[in-house]
Amino acid sequence: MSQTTIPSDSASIPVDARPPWYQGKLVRAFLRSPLTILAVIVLVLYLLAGIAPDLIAPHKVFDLSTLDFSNAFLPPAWVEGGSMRFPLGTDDQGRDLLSAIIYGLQVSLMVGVVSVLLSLVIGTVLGLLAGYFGGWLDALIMRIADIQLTFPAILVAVLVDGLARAVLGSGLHEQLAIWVIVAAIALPGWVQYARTIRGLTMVVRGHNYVLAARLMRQPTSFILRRHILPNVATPIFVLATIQIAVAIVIEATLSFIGLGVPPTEPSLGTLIRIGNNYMLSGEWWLAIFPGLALFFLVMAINLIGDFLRDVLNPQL
Amino acid sequence: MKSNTRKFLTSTLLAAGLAASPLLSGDAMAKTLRIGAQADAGTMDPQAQNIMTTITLLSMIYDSLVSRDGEMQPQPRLATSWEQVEPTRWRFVLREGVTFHDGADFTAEDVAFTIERAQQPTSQFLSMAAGLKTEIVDDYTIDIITPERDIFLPSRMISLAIMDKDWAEANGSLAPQNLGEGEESFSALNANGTGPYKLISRVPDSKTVLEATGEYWGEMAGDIDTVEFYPLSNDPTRVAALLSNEVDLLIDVPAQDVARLEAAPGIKTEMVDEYRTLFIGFDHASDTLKYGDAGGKNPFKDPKVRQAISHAIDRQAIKRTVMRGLANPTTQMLAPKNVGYVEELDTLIPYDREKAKELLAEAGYPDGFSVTFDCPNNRYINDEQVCRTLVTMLAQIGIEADLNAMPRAQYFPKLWERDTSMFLMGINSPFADGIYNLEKYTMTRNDETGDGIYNYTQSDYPELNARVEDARRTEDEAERVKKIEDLYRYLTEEQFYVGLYNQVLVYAMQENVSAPVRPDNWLEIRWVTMDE
Amino acid sequence: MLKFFIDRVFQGIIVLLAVSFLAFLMFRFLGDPILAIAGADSTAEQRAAIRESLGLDAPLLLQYLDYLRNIVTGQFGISYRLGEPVTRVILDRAPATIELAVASMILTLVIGVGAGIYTALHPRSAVSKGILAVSLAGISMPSFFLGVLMIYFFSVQLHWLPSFGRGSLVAIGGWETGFLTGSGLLAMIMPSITLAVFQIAMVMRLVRAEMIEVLQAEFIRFARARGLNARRINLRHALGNTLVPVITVVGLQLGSTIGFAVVTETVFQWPGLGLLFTQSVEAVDVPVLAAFLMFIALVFVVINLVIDLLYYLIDPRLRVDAKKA
Repeated sequence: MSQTTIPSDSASIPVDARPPWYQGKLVRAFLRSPLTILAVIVLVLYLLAGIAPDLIAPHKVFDLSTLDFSNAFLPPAWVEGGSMRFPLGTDDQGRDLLSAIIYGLQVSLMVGVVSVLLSLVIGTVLGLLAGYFGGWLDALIMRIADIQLTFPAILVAVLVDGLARAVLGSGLHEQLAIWVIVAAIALPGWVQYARTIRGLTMVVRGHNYVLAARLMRQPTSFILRRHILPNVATPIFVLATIQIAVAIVIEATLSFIGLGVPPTEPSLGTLIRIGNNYMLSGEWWLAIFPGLALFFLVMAINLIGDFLRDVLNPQL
Repeated sequence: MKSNTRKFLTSTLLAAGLAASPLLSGDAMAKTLRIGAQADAGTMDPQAQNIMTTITLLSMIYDSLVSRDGEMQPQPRLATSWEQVEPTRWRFVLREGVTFHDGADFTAEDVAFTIERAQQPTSQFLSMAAGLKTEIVDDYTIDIITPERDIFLPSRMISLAIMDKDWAEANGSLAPQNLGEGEESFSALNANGTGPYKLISRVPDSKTVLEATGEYWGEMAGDIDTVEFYPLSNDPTRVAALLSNEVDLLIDVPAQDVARLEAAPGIKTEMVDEYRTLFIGFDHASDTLKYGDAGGKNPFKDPKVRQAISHAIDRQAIKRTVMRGLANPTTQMLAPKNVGYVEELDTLIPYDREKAKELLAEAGYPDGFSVTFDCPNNRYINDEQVCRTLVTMLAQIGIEADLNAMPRAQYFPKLWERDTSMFLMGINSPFADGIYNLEKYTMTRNDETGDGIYNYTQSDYPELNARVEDARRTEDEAERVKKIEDLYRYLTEEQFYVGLYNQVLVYAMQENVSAPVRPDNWLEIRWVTMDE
Repeated sequence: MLKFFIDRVFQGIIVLLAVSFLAFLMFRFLGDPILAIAGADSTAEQRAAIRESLGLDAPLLLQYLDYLRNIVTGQFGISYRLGEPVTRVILDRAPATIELAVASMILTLVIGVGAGIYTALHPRSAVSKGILAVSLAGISMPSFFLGVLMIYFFSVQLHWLPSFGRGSLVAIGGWETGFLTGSGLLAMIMPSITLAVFQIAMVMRLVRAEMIEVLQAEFIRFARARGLNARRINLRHALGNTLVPVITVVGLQLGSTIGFAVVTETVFQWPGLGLLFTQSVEAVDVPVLAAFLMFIALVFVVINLVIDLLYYLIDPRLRVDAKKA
């Protein structure tokens, strides 16, 4: 391979390895974009609700002993028959839908963020290794990535879910269901990061300052951390933002077809699945509000992702 | 103006659709009934699948010796009469002049063949035919010999659809398909019966078309020329299909949509009390709870705990919310109109949360306990929602039930292994007789005799066994009924099972369709009519 | 060249083997096919007999080898649920999914590329801003939720469009198509839109981004400087250079199209492979599930192979690398 040859322009100084967000450009652009500001506000509200549902939700809906069946199927407050105690109405158990959505958010956000972090870590490590070392390691990792790509995320999740049910037994699986979903979504996710990082690493590897560092016999792990990672971090950060939205949608989709989070700890997708049964029977709010909550959450994340991409302009 | 535009658009779209439709090329007067159901018939083989949808569809093509009337009483069909000539011998006189769709005559040979076929290991009707022997008296008379005195034999014959022996032999279909051998089965895809309809085309999971032969031997009240059967597994999609007039009749109506369908213009519903009781079962045998934590004990061995659970359940609330009124609460495990039914047992254990807490404390569980509650999510009407509701109700007396809901493909194998501490089940007696539930669900399991084969509680009560055995052998009918009633009283007091409710069955249809509902959820096409 | 090709085929076979083992293993444990065969009312004795006849009591590895031997000879067994050979079941369902995918691809390319070009050429117009807002909604809308909403409005409220199925079909050879009948086309509208919405939004944004970049490139400015007319520049030069990456991405998106078809087909009861998949999962129809995964794996190995070969032919540097390797 050719990386042992030092290119003729090796005299040029190392490029600025700092990510662009240190440069104040991000803040200035942010202040000029009202839509992004709105999206951030919305997302912050979502995050607050998701992090501390106990403080925000009007009812402790998962303390089953507080439920009262005489409140079942109340419509939203502004519809005739509704009550201000239950702003968005109630479900078949007499559970406050707004509170159920807030608790559901927690599950959806948790699954989205954790699964992206997990796939990010796996993808970054494998992508760096493949891109930096090349050769058989690269071939191996990229072939595994190909296998992975062979299965669309939903199919992988079905597989993981099925295997987990068998290995864990149904009782234990119930307790671990959320972690199973996290794994199921993270597993196919790493490929994207690995591919992106590998490509960028191959480019950066040829840059002069990396070649210089190698000539100076700096340890490989140091080179990877110090010189390569910062250069590939920006696109990965943007990719991860967008991927959180994707992960949340996948979780909702899985839960919608009954494979995801169990109804005892409903995520937004589970709520929509249950509500969907009542779409035609008049209790439209049971599917519509969780659906809208999901939609606006994903939209806010996408808006922020778009903004980051436009400003930082990483090569994705 | 707006609605005119809409009408114009609709009619244009419809015209565009229909003009190209090959279906319209047929007789314009022909009456086509489009049926929507939750699942497809799994096969065209009449002995391969004991599931009501499959039985319903195949009964349009095949006849059995005996059928049921609207009150579930046995009626002659291919047999014109029958009598118990000896305690273990029934004689059936067969109808003459009946032919199969391929032209072959129907004779006693075909009956003997069908019973033998139902006894093959790949048959799902083994329980209806087990141990039976046949003796052909002449072409139109056949004796069926039962291992013991069996007053239910005519009822058993209802679910055995008669196949033509020669047709099955010629096509290598002597037994229901053996899937493991990797062989294709002619009878799984083709059909040849004596019934009023013949199979025209079939795309599994999508559409099955039947057409009247026009040569049916019997009188029929129904007047449908063509039956199109659509499996639509998604609940809202299925309801939407009826609302938008894409199907004429729904035989699996989601409970929550009944009110809306009743209110929808041009659509009506038919209801009947189904012979199916939903109940909670428990592990009666283990010393410590297998799934759950009750301080090393198994609380379900104590009748007080089972009674407490029963008192904690607000059955009226379940009826009102989850079941939308389509349930008749009960605390026993037998449906009305079945032999042995006692009405007062339906309300023997009333909803009383304080009483429930007291009983729980008396039994030594003042702070409750935790247990995993196994529940199917695609077997009974709204089963998962019912279980979620039960979990909530139990939480209110301190019992923490962890819901473990799963599809029936996982649920039943778990029960077969008796691998459960607490479970939801539905029960129905195919003979509308309470002795069946007692034999199969409460006696100690015995695979030889078939007693207790659905007793997933692992219970072993010799005294109970003896009493059921005694009731079974009693020949005097009044005395037998009395013994069965007494047994149900005892079981309800003990809350051997915690009865919940009897399901109400609903069909929904376009206004021009008339389709009576029978308590066994078997759509009898011979009764269905349609106005122009 | 030949060595590169053989390498890739060999790797593909290893991928297929790995997939087949995973598929076999996982679905073997997902549930118990005995229920489908023997029924819920069966006796323990009857179940034991069937278990033995299915070979389900044999050691796992033997079951796998048995399975492998069969699929090499093209036999995927008989569907537990439908009683038909799996190969036929899959081939019967494939046209429905392929037509749905084609319809949604057409929507994706026509609407996505069209809107992308428009917004790139007129970045400041109000229409462009509207399109961008809609595309953001499209990328954020979970497709199953959109399907549910569309059925509610267009089937139940308005009675305009069928809520399920494929309408009437016309058989051409062994292929049943819905493209040639009115009701077939009507039935295709909602499912294909549901499936396409995400892709449309994505392609539109991609085309727009690429196009804006290309429009600023040297050769476009040069063409402008030469006085070529704007229309010709936009279509010939800019669009041409934009489409290459777009087509690659759309090709790669085929996987998620099939994945999301599972959901779309379930919502609309579209009798294709996706519906077959969910119904087979529910019924623990092991032979169908295993064959289904093998089928998808094969499709993707082939797609990957083709892409690799294309890159090889396009990018001369890879050829040098391959020779050295």
